Amino acid sequence: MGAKILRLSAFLAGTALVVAAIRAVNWLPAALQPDVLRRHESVEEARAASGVERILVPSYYPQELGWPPSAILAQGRPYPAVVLEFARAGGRDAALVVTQWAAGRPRPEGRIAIAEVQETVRYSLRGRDAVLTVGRSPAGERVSRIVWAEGKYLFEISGKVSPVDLVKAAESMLR
Amino acid sequence: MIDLSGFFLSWPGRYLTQSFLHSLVAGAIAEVAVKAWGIARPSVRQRFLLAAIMVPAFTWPVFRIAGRSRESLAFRLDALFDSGRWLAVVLPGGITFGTLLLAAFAVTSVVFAAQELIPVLRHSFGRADDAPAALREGDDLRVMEALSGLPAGVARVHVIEDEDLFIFSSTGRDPAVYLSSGLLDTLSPAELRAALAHELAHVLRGRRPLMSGVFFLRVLMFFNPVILVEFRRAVQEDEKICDEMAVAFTGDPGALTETLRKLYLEDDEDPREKRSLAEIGGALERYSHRLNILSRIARLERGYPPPAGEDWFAFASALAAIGAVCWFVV
Repeated sequence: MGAKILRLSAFLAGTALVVAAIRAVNWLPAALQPDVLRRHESVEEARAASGVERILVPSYYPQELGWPPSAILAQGRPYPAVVLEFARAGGRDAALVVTQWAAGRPRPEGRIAIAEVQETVRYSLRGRDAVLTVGRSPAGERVSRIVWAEGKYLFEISGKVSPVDLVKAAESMLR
Repeated sequence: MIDLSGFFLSWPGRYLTQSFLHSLVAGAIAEVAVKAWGIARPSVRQRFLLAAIMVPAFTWPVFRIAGRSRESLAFRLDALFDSGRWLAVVLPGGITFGTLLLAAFAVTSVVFAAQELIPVLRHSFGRADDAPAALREGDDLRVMEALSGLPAGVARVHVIEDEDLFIFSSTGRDPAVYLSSGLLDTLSPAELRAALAHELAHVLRGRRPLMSGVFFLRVLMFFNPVILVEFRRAVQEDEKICDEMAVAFTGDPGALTETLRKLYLEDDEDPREKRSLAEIGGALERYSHRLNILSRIARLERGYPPPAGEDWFAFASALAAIGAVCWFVV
């Protein structure tokens, strides 16, 4: 039994070394190039890092969501993209995610996904053509998503909120 | 600068990238497990190598079904390894790391096609008249005596009229063992018996459905340089497994070691004496093969350790570690 425990410990130690090596290699690009994906403390810091001239932020939020964003992620390469996550007050899981990315590039995947689409409609968002989707997340929660283009960027707001609140948040980002 | 971000974010691009990264992780953890648990038996070592080949073929699609947020920007940021960071790194000259990775995949694909796929297809779909001209049935008395006591009806034996020393087997619908007349004249009865036992072991192992599945997955991962290396290591372990089986059939490990010496160790060339790159490359390959043969001989002379009861626990813990770590390698 003693030999077995010793061998198991050796295996776990070896695996921990492998994990440490993986983390070290992962750290290198962020050390060498400042515009790779990273977390930021403020929207202004994210703007400077991503090269996005103007980051649109909602001024309307459903009551249960908190400000400031629970997470601000931004990258300049391989293409400019910014993600703002908002959690429910006192919570940690993202309830609203605002994504802005360079048009013509693949949509960055967000934390909130729609596994089952129930309805998709075209919507005029202050004169912009938008697509509003309502459905269920993989966990069965009600999820809404709205996507539109604005200049050089595409925007998406996904949230575990009602479509009405989602549209209000989107409209608050636009003049 | 060529922008490949669109490709790497597509499903094929993600599969290529993550299966490659997961095979690196699986190979490293399998190696750690073999060393930590002191796995010495070739049949058990091969199990770990095959896991490193097979598991990465499935991880990305399985993970994709299990958790769609796994590839979100937020998850990537907290992951052990985010491939997106490295793929976007721009090297001197404007080449991205992603371009280099694709180039590596392309080179691996060519090597795989030239060294593995085309020879297998030629063998599988070769015509009857492709068989060596100077071929006779192995009803030579020496062959008949050598086969007595070995598993019967496994494969036909053919003798090729050639003074060079060689023996090989073909598996599939019509398995057969081919040996040269030169080998027949060189080996003692016990050595011939050991050589035939080794080749019959290959034929018996080739019948296992698992091996077809492994080869199918190996073909699926034709682009992956880690799988290229791991598969070849698994093939080398297969040689040792067949040595083990041959010794079990004949009860005479000494005869097999002498056979290996006569077949493979007679010509002791020094790669440093070669002049051209092609000569050096060929000599290095033969030197590597020689080291492999010496390893097999040493193992035969040492004998095989008894099966350890914890082999399956070691394998299960390695699989669990591979799955857990790969989940956080995006």
